Amino acid sequence: MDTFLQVTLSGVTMGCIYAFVALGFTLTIAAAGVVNFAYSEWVTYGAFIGVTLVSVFGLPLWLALLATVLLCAVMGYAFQWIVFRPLEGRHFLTTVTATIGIAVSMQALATLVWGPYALTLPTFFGSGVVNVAGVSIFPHNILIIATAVVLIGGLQLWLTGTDIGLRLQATAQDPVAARLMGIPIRHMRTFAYCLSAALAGLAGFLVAPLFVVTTTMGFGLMLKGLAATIVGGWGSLKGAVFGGLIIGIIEALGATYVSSEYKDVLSFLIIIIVLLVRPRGLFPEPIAEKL
Amino acid sequence: MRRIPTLIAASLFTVAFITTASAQSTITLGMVVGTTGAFAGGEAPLVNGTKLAVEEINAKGGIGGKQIDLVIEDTGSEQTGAINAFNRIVGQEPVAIMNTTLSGFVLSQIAMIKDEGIPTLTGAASAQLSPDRKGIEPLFRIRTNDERVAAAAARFAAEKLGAKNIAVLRINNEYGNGWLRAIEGVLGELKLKPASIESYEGPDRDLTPQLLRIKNANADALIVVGDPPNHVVAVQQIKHLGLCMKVVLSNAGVLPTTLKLYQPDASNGIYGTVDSLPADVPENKEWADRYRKAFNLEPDYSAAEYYDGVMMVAQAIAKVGAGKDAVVKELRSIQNHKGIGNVYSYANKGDGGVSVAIGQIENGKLKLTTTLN
Amino acid sequence: MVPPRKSARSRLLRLIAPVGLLAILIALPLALKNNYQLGIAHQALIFIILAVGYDVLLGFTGLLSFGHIGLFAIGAYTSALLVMSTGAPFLIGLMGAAVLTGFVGFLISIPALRIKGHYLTLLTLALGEVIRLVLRSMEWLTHGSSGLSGIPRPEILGFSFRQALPLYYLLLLFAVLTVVFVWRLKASRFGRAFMAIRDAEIGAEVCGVNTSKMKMMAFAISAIIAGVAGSLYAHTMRFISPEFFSLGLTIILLAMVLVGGRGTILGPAIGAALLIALPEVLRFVKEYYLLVFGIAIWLCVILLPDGLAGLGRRLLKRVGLAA
Repeated sequence: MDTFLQVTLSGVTMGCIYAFVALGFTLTIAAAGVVNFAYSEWVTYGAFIGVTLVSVFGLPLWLALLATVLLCAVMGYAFQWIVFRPLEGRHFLTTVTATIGIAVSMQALATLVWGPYALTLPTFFGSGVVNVAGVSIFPHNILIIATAVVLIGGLQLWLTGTDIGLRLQATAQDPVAARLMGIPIRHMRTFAYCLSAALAGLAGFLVAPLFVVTTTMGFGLMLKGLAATIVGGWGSLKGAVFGGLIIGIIEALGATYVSSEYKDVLSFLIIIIVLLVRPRGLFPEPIAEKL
Repeated sequence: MRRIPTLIAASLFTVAFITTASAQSTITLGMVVGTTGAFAGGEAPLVNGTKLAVEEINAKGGIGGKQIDLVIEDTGSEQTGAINAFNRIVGQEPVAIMNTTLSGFVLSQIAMIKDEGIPTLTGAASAQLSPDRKGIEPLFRIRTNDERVAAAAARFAAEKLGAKNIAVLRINNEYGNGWLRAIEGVLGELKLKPASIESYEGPDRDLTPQLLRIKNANADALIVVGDPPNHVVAVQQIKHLGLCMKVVLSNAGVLPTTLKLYQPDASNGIYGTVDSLPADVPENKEWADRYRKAFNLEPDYSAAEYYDGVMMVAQAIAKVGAGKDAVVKELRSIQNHKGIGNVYSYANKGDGGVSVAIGQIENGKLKLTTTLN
Repeated sequence: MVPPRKSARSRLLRLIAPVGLLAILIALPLALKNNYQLGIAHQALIFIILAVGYDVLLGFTGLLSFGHIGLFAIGAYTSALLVMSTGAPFLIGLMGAAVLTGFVGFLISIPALRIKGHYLTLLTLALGEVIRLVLRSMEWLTHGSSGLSGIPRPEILGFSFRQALPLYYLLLLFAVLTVVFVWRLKASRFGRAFMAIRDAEIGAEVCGVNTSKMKMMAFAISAIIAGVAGSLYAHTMRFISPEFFSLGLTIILLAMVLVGGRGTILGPAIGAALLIALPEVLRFVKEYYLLVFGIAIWLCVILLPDGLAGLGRRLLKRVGLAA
């Protein structure tokens, strides 16, 4: 039982991280139809910026976190003008390839700026561990889970409850109709890009103490995020979150109870089965895709 | 007025003559290594060690009066890049090639190394490259191969640490699997069985499931095999989960750059394997100081081994000239050559280095515990 | 409006471009000085074959598969194992690779019938990775992560292609055959059916196109070509390992087709040649080359929606050498 709880805890933590990534990734898809394959690099940059702020500028961790998130939001804003606006409305594959090119460049730039060696970030709570009922709880994991719950819950309420949230949803579902209704599409999209980037920065910073900060850290996360996005239902924010959690938990449980050697095969097989049973993902968007 | 073009032509000719003339008075030493990409960090010490040797030799007048020109080609940390970089270097007609330490890349270059016949030195540790397996005449290993290092780790755990239930947590690739085979071999000889054998993928950052299974198997020692990021995660999570077994890390876990990444209270007391600790040997002090001054880094065995490699090549050329077949033959006759990083033997199907040392981490530094040769 | 009749003269003019290109490719080794450059040419030709085959699935039929490298791997391993374990001649290895890979492609297409769009992409990604991981774990057969080394260069009827130059011509032959095959395929009723599925699947069904059968065929054909490319890769590089057939390679393959121009015949070939040669050409920028490379891909895709082939076509049109 101990093992089960422990593993589930770490699985849920990883799941929350995947959910952050999937959510941020889906935001730009939902709001602007832009598939941003450079998202993985946003996460990496979030981690590196965090490390720089803490190690080089000596900022306390909380301040560094806020600064990182803000800087990433600014990066998202800059990206909108340079990268995304020319891509809106273009074919899906064009966007994918263009953002892949950007991702390759960003990864190379990261190596040039921060060097080839790995870096780490200390956690908010030191390296102490709390023992509860035979389960070792690393406070940082709880922070990740708590942040996920607060942020995602808050986002859900905000999207469905407030005016701006509803307008964002409208922009996502039908830009033309939204424009006709007087919704400022450009503002909504700008907001989505900045939020997406901010989420990436947050994910990168939170993940940095658990992972090791390397220039390739974003790619693996993004792959799981992509899988979560699709398994949950393309373009569905709720689906992205659930997809991330499911993948995180299944990975952990599979590695523990089946085999650590085949855990990746297991995860992929589960994805295949889910898709065969529910070809449009677990929580498909009610809007049908163009056939 | 017509004098000017003639003057220009004459000076160009002179410059061309001088440069070609001086080109002939240098020896090209090729290096194929990752200066960009995922493995650039790990391969930087190799470049440092090579450069230190080249500078030292050139300062003393070069080899046979000719200065060494070091040409580095980048593999980009990709297999295809490694093949292309090797081909490019061959085009520069080097007397020898200092090759990458990534065994997978060297394996992909093997056919070309054989075809070209240029003495190629590598720090790749895979047992696959030994002379009785896929190794070939012109390939010289300037390292202790995986089998010996892994076997030393297993022996250390069983004999010196007195462990009976040894678990293995290894990266699921050629390196990790090679270690596993060697460890299983040694444990078999000692009539022990591994407590638990776990694996993970390179990019994995959560080893909780594997570590819990190891805990539940009542392991009293754990050997972790992987790349630097894997070791950092493992050490951190071993502490979190409150595992109290003895831990031995593979080489990547105790590199100077990796040691910096551990939380101090998590890494104390953990053991790690290295080929040697050159900086800790008093007779190497001058060398170590020179290295620190030049590169602002602590020297490690991989830099020392590449330094030794260049020195061995230089000595061979001084003796038999720069012809590649002669140099290969001369290097093949080396027996028990003591360098700064290792003791090398190539004669009688020798597989290069034989030295292994185990250190223990103390306040972020590795202290020598024992050497096994 | 009735299209103007193509005169014999304009038909001849239109052949100049491809024939000219072929002549350049045949004469190319004379300009390439050493094994290094010929080696790059080998890699380019192999990826030309792979990319052109991939475009049958992506550009013609509109099915974005992220598992294609898994098929490439099956082709490589099948051919290598057939030749090394049973001593079979190279052509048998090649045909074995083509047949087995084609069959696996056909199997993959079955679940793909129900699943569309992004979901198909993820499904094929998962399948591709499963293939790679299974190949890696079958150590008794494939030597797992150690990889297979010592794969011999092709030898056909006693003639050895071990040297770089004859190997170049062998690969060029296969590349030309692939391009010609795909060209005829595009003009055939199969090609039209593929493109109908890509542009308006429901409409195609209504018009009597058996979309299921055509999708299976698209998968199988592109898989067979991938198998051929895999075999050629294994016997050219003489070493294969599971690490090489990674997701990163899938992305490079995708970029090749998109930069070159999807849905065209020569587009993927141009894209493949460019993406293989460009990193080598950019070497002079040293550690900045990946940075430049990524930006180059981005700019290419933004500024040239039809890819490089589209640009080529437009330029040739101006000169009157294309329709």
